[in-house]
This record gives sequence, C-alpha cells and structure tokens, in this order.
Amino acid sequence: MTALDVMLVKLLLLRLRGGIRHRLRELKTLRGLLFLGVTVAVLALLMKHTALPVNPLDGTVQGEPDLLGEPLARWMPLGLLAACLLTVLTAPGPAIHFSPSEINLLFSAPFSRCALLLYKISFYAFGALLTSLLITLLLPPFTEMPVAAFAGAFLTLLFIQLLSAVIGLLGHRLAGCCSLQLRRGHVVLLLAVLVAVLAWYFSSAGSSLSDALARFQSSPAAILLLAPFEVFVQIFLAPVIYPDLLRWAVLGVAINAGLIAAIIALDRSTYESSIAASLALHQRWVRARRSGLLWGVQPVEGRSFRRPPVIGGIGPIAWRQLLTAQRSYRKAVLVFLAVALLAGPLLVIVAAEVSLWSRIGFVFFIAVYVLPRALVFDFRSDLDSMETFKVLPLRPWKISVGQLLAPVLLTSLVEWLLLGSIAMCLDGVGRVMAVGLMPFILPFNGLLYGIENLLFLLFPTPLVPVGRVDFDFLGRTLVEFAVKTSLLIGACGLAVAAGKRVLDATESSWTAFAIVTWCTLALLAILMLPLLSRAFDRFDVSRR
Amino acid sequence: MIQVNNFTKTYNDFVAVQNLSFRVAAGEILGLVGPNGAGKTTTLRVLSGIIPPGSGELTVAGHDIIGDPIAAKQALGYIPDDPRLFDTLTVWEHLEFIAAAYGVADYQPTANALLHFFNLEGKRHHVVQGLSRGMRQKLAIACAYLHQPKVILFDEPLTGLDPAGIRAIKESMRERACQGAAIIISSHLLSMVETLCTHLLLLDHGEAQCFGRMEDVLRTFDEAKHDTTLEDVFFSITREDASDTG
Repeated sequence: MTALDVMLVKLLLLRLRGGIRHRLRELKTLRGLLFLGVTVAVLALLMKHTALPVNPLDGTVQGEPDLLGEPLARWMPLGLLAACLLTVLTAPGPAIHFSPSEINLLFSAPFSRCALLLYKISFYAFGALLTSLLITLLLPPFTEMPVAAFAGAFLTLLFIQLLSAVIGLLGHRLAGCCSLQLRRGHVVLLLAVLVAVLAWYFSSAGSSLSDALARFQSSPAAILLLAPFEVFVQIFLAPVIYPDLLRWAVLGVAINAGLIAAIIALDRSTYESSIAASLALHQRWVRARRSGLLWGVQPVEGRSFRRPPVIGGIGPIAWRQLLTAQRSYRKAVLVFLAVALLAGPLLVIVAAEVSLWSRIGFVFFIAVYVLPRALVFDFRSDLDSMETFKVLPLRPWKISVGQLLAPVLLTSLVEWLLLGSIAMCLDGVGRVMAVGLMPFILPFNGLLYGIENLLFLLFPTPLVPVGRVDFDFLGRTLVEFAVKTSLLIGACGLAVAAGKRVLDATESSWTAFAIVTWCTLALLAILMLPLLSRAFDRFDVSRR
Repeated sequence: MIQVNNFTKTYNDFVAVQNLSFRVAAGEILGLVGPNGAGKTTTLRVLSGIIPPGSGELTVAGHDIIGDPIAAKQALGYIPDDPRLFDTLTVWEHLEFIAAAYGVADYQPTANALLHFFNLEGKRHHVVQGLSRGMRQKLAIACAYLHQPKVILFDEPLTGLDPAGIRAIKESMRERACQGAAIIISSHLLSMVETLCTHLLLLDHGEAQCFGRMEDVLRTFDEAKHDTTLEDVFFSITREDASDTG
C-alpha cells in the first residue's frame, strides 16, 4: 500500500486551516455570532437533556451508566447494521466522492490513485473526528469513560463510512458485469426475497417487534453477521483503558484498515465509473443549491403552458414559477397531494386516540415547517438568477407578487385537500374547525411565504447545507424557525384579537369574527409586499 | 443614449469605481477595457440597475437609472459574462418570458429570426440546463435583442462561443449600432475591441485612464511608432499606472 503523499497531507492541513479561518471570519459578523450562540445553546440543551439526573440535595449523580449501557449493548449492533445499509441505499453518488476541483487539480497531478484514495479517506476521518467530539459531549450517560466514547464514536463512524464504501464498490463491480435490465431484475428479485423472508420471520415470531428482533439476533446467521459490529459496541462500553479499551480499539483499527485495503483493491475496476458518478453528484449538489430542493432533481422536459399571461408583468414571473413547479417539483407536489388526501383516513386508523389539538398541531407543523421548505419555487430558489430579475423593467412589488403566487396557491391547494380529508373523517367540533380554517389558508400562506422570502432577501443563503456537517446551516435554520414562528404567532394573534373585539361588539356574531379575522390576516399578508419590495430593491447581487 | 457623470461606487472601504464620466451616443460602440478588478463589470451592473450606484448621475436613453429605473430598463439589454438563465425553461419559453415581461407584442417573427440567426432552431424545445456554455450565451443575447433595446451592454460576450458564433455576434453588434443602438462591450479581447468599437474607455483601479474615439486614442500613442495597436496603448497605460502605484 502506497503511503499518503506528504503534499496531500499538506493540502489536508491547508484545507483544515482554511475551514477554521472561514468560521472565524464569520464570527466577526453579528449574524455569525448569533448563529454560534444559538448552536451552542441547542448543544447545551441537548447535553443537559442527555445527562444523568443529579440529586439537588447532595449533588450526586442518579442512575448507573451500566444500566443505560445494557440496552446500548443489545441494540447497537443492529443499529449499526441498519446505519450502514441506510448509508448505502441513500448515498446519492459514488462510494468515494471527489469534487470537480479535486478531479481537475489532483487527478492530473503526480499522485498515485492509492494516495488519492487515502487522502480522501483522511478527509472523511477529519469529519468523523469532529462529529465524535460532539457525540462524546452528548454520550456520558451511556458509557463508562469519555475516552471510550470518543474512540468508539470515531472508529464506528469511520467503520460505517468505509463499509458503506466497500459495499458501494462491490455493487459497482457487480453492476458492471451485467446489463441494466438484468441489474434491475436482480434488484427487484432480491428485494422481493428480502421482504418475503422478513414477512415470514415476523409472522412466525408471533409476538412484538422487539421479541422478533431479539430472536433474530440470537440466530447463528445474525451472530456471524453482527460480529464485526460487536467490536465497536465493546469499544464504547469498555470500563477501563487497559486491557478492555485497548484490545477492542486495536481490533477496530484492524477492521478499518482491512476495509481500506479492500477499497483500494476494489477501486481499480471502478475507476472510470467513480469519476463519472462524482461529477454527476456534484451537478446534483449545484442543482440543489440553485433550486433550494434538497434532492436536486434534474428538471424534466414537459408540456409548456400556452403563453405567459402579462397581467402587468406579474404574469410571466408566476408562469415561470409554475413551470418550475411542474418540471422540478412535480413528484414532490404529487406526493404532498396524495398524503393530504390520505391524511384523514390515516388519522382515523392510526391515531384514533390522538386529541383534536394534537391534530391541529400536526397540520400546523406541516403547514409552517414542512411545506414551505419542500415547495421552494420563489426568491429562495432564484439566488443565482437575481441579476435577471433586477434587469427586468418591472416594479419590485410586481416581481414579488409573481414570485409568491405559485407557491402560495400550490401550498394552499395541498392544505385545502388536507383539511378537507380530515373534515370528511371527523364529526362534531373537529369537522367545524377543519372547515372553518379553510378560508384562512390563503392569507395565512401569503403571510408565511412573505416572511420566508423576506428573511431570505435580508440574509441570502442557499437553503441546503454545504457538505455533511454544516453547523452554520443548523444555526441559521434554528434562528429562522424561531423568528418565523414568533412573527406568525404574533400576526395570527393580532388577527384573532381584532376578530374578538368585533365578536364582543356584535354580541357573538361568529360571521363578523371570521370576516374581521380574515381581513386582518389578509391585510398583514399584503403589508408584506412593501417590505419584500424594499428588500428586493436593496438586494445586492455582488455581495451574495 | 448613455450618460455617466461623476459616478463612484464603493464596497465598504474599497473604491471600485471613482469619478467616472463618459457618454455613448446612438450608433456608437464603446469598448470598455482594463485589467481584472478595474471596475468594468461594476460599471455595467450599475448601468443595468442590478446594483445601486454610490453617487453620480447615470442616464440610459434619457432616463435616470435611479429616478426612473423602469423606463431605463425598458430601453436596455444586458448580457452578463455568465448568462443566468432559468434552468427549468426551454429556449422558446425564455423568449416568451422576455416578450411578456417587456410587453413585446407579436414577438414570434422576431424570436424565430433570432433563433435562426444564432443557429438555435434545433434547440427550441430543449430545457436550457442541457445546453452548452456557448448556446446559453447565444440565447442570452437573443433574449436581450428581442425587445429591440436602444442601449445594449455586453460583458465578455464572446466567452465560450465557436468561431461561427463569434462572427455572428460581432456582425449583430455592428448591425444593431447601425440601427441606432448605443452599445458598450466590456472585454479583454483587445484585437476584437480595436476592430469592432468606435470608442474606447480604459479603466484602471476604478478610474478612467483614457476615453475617446478609437482612432484618436491610437493616434495619441502613435508618436513613437506607426501602426500602434490597442494592445500597445493598453500596456503603455497600465504599466505606467503599475509603476506609479508600485
């Protein structure tokens, strides 16, 4: 095995230094400080939540790490197996991914392929190191020693990454041996057999899922399959450094070294397909960052709507966004429409005991957090096209209305179906509430998308994370959610308060209450327009 | 057509353009040249209304870009160095979009002629994401031409184009100028600027180093030797400037 080239080590260190410099530079801004503060606060909350309870009288720790370690020892091997399978199945690109700049600069440089692979694996190891530090902070209740938690987390994360890469490369190698049709046939057949075996296994167990899993774990096949995973569990749970931790850690390192050797051996036959897959993955990331769509699908060519309506300039902007929805978001919209239609029956079947307020909470969560982040065809998906809009001879408010029209209408359609489906399956107060909420959806969504876009125009950043561990993104999302929720609750509270005043004045006329509340909400949504126009006008494309 | 007086633009402490003044009349083609970071793209972006100016008076086709931006943009066509098109729209849908946004009635004959001119007829119903860099550039230019602008701003217009595309675009620029359009071309291709442009503006460190008719500028530097080229002028000015600042 060729050793990792000294120059590549230097490159790794330079990139690490660059990353730190970038983070520090961001901390000089108010926004960077705010994001850091929120991220630290969330981490502190998580640490407090996962810490063992402390007796307030004498300060002693309640509970035994061993007691908590027992379920960990029992379920972790299966969990690790599931994590590996999930990584392989959900990985969008090649087993070892090189960025276009790495392909252009490093592949043509005098480095062996083996050295490049080791460089990339070292890069992953840096990421695993950072994540392991976080896990070590959050894991004390489950382990005996922080050192064991750190070593266990690091070696396990690396193991998952390497094993997934080996499985991916094996898949590539097998895929290269047969035609596409044959490959699809094999996959379908394999999945069918797997489902049949699982169905038979669980039906024959005749008891709960945990019993069935326990029975599976004690079978000879599972013991053999899970043996490598057991090693990493033992690292986590080692009670002393010598001999337990050292012995298991050496075994863990040996397993990972074996996997690296396997990757280097397998990579020889998948070199070209790996480069092609790397470039395809990069294109997908570019599309994701441009469109704000996490899965970055390639737009499909579809039928064009006849001609853009003018409507004072609003028409072409809305027309273009509807085409984007049709071509890039068709599957997402269809899935949401289907889920909305099935929501009522599903709630009746699955959650008959769920309270009315929980159902309202569910609808609110979908409406405020899921849909606006999944149906992104407004300013947020046009970060790269802002120049084009700036050049158009249209007033900023017209551009804002045009940008918001399509997502507001489509989101409202999904929510009307959702409420309609729920109303059909409910009776009494529930049905009245579901039907009564329907007229408010349109102004509410106008306000919601107005706030989303206003925040984006004021603090323009792509809606998808950069890389696997983007702490800026995490902090930013948390701040945005907090601000958005506060503004929405404030606006809705204001609208309801206005309605309540009329309700009191008209001696309980619910019609008057609804009309005033609706009008107030609509007015607040319309008031977003001058703010959006101002933000669009001030948006400086040269500083994005 | 284009009038710029005492235009200054700063980013925090950095002065991108300082006290710039020039004018381009109908039928003139101004070559905007200068080293990287001289302020060329900033000038074009401000003129097209993409970024606000710091100070100064800028008018496009008689309309102040701050006081009456909509009327100014209605008369303007801007082609950026990296054409920003909508990935999900087809070639024809881009032209339809521009026609609707600029209120161009009966645009189909012009749009068809532009597609034919730029050799894009075969790509009419293709989503632009699949187009090459050169084809995207041609489409961006076709979009800018569709509403017959009186002022056209080109930022590095020939990047990524094949020889036929380069010839077609140069030809179209001359044609538009003959029809009365005022054109600014920002480019590093000095030979192209020298043969195509009627006027020259050389920027360095955000300041105008020379401005005037192309032959006048060349004649000014013609004292030492005959057949002075724009390249000679460019290096003569920018080297002097570098030695001054150095």
